[in-house]
Amino acid sequence: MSFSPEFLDRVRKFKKNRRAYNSLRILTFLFLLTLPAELLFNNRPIVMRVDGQWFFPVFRDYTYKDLGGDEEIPVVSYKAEMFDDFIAGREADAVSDLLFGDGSVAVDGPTASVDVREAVPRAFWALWPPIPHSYKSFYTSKTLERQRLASPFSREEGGVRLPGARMERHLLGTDSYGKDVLARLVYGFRLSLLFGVALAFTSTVIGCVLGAIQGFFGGLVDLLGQRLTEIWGAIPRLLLLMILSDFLSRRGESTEAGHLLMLFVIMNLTSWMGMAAHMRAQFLAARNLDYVKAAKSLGVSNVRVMFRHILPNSLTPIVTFLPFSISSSILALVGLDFLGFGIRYPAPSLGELLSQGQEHLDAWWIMVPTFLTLTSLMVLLTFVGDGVRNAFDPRYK
Amino acid sequence: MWSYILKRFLLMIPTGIGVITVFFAVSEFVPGGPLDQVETMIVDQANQSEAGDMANFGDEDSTGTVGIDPQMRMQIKRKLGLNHDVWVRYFRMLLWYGQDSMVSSKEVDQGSARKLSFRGDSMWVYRTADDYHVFVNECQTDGESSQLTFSQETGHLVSTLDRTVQFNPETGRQIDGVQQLTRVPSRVKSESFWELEYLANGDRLKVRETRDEVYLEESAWAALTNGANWHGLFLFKFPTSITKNKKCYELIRERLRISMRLGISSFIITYTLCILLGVSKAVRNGTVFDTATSVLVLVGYGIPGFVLAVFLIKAFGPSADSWVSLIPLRGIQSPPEIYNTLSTWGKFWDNVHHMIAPVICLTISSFAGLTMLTKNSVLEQFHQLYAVAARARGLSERKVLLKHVLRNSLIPLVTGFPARFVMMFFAGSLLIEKIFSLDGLGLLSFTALVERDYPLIISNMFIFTFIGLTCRLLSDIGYVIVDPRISFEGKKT
Repeated sequence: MSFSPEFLDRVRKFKKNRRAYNSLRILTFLFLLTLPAELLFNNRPIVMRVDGQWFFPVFRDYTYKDLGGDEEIPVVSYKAEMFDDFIAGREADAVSDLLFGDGSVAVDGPTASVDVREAVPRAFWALWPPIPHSYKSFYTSKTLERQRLASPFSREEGGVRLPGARMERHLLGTDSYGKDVLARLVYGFRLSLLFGVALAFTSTVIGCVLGAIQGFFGGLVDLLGQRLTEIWGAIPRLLLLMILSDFLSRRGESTEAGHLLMLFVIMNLTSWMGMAAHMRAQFLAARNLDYVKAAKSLGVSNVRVMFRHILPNSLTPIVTFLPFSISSSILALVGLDFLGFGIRYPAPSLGELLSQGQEHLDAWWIMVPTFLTLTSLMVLLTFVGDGVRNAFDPRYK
Repeated sequence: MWSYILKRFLLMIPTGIGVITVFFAVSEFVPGGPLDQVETMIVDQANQSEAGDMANFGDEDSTGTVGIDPQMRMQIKRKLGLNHDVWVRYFRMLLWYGQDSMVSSKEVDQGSARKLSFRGDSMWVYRTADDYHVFVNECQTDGESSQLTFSQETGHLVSTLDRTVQFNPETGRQIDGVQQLTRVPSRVKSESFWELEYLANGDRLKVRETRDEVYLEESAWAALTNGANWHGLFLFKFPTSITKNKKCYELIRERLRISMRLGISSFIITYTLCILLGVSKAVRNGTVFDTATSVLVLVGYGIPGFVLAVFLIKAFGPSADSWVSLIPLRGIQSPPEIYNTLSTWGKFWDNVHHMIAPVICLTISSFAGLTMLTKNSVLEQFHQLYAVAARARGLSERKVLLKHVLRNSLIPLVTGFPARFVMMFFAGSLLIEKIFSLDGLGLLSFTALVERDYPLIISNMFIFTFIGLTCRLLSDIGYVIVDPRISFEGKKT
């Protein structure tokens, strides 16, 4: 695919706009930085070696049997005492003695017993991510007095001096569930941006198709389409989303990803109207232009005229709208999360953090970083959008 | 022009119908509707009184019909108006002619309710398994129809539809605010309208109207012209809220005051500041001032209002944890016990003080668009021939700007006027009203949604749609007034 010289010229014009171009670069940098969040913020080792074998806990779930033990128990935490005992060879003490105190495990009936292998310390090496907390892990060491709402810096509370959570590498403390704020911010940033971009793309496509059909055929189709857009547009978006999302959570989509996908679908339903209105106007104007009439008289099919002839000439509003569409998509998601109608809880969400910040006004380490993350994300997107509009829209010279 | 206005006006009707239909469909087909909600509430209350905290562990799945007997269910349904057919309910919401009745024709057909006697247009008596329902077309001074329900066993007045109409057993007069009636005499007499005598033994219920001459004969025309027989949002007759036990329009009217106060002040501030800033940016195009303010309004555009709201409360709120205590935490004014002691000036300041933070949050993102629009529009007009001609005539720059350019450059601003106006009422303010606990329309819709008060939501939606569409129409008319060259009559391709 080659771009028209006009398009390239506009891209050059965009690049000359230092504010917009630098914002885009910062955004891309932040996005690339948060993209491998699993490798940077995780409560599991990236790579580990047990008795000469390699394991990759970040990418796969293992049981103790996989690691060479006896029990078919999944390894829940790689930082728990149970895992430490397993590595140190205190397996019998840790698992069996805890249960029966005599080194035997009752299997079927009182007489059956299993000999537990001689306790052997295992050769162990692991590469940990720089921050050993993920967005949903709430493990913190026992040395931390209070795990929930722990401030990163030590502080006085009720006459007691609490240690700073940053010693446990909670660089921004923990939230009210004891989860790492920074990890949730990073994962949430990545999720919001991915969600926003994906939503902006799909809703643009939907809006283009619907607007194109309205504008191209005109007449009754246009009239009906207009009414539909008006009805759908008259209903406040947030309210409609709340109803639909509530409906979803009652239907009980079980997995995190499934719920997110359904949320994506319903948000698509409510975000195509602006694009459709613009495309309608473009197509309405274009359908009487000579090149369209010429194509039609040559017998080119309607669909082909719409998407091969008119659409490439109507790209300006699409490109101009995209950054703003991304930011409004992100905002809608954040708003829904803030009200508690959005992503299901353990999933990382900036809106949920914000509402925690409002609930716990004393926990500035939740409020301030979330505010800064959200506003800087939005401001950067705005700068990019402004630059794109200046470069692409002929009306802004 | 007039035909255009008429056409637009007529097109508002299908849109209004559409919005109501969408919400009606949602309320019908989405589970967890009002009936489920009330039942859950009752079951929860029962559980709580029995098992204390155990009710909190009750799963959502177990809230079906457990613990509610069918009779009670029917009563609730009747109270919510759910005993009627779907299409009856739908048209009652839109537009409907017919006497109000609590017992649906479906129930009569099925035999679970029986029509006992029919006297003219003014009164029916139905008998259901548990109650007698006596419907009187007019029994109250405000002329709206009402329904009285009598218990079959005791003959006591059980309930009325809207208001509690109860009768003092001694005097037979209607009294207000009585919670329960212990004894209803067989003869009830209301001073102004009607007299009712009945015996509650089996089917031998006798209803007698003494003022037959007034109500017995309601001609077809009289019934048709009786406003009480007409229902539906299209006549601006609002349903009753389920949770608040009040007519929806009263609720909306109460909340509208606060929303309007917020909306109008943000609206005025936005437009004044944007026009001033836009014009001065255009005059100083390309200077440092221009660039700096551009960045400023863009940053403002980027900051989401509700995120800022949370931050403002944290930073400047009244709590001990805030950095500087400058703004109050919640509400549109101080609590009445403080507010009423203030002087006039103090009251004014109290209102302003409470509104500063919400208005900042409401307006912050709207500066960018309008300012740039004003600036570009003024710049464009500056280079038009008529402006050049005016300058050539020797008019000063200021005169050219104020007398010629400004009027023409305000046209694009008129476009955004209605959308922004409605938006101020609702869109942005749901979150902000919630954060600052302002009892506006946004919060009303939010709580109605959470409590599944569908009549209230639909009424709200109807109002918003109506205001929105009217504003859009007004802006089109505004176009013509501002710029006589615009015509909507011609070809619209």
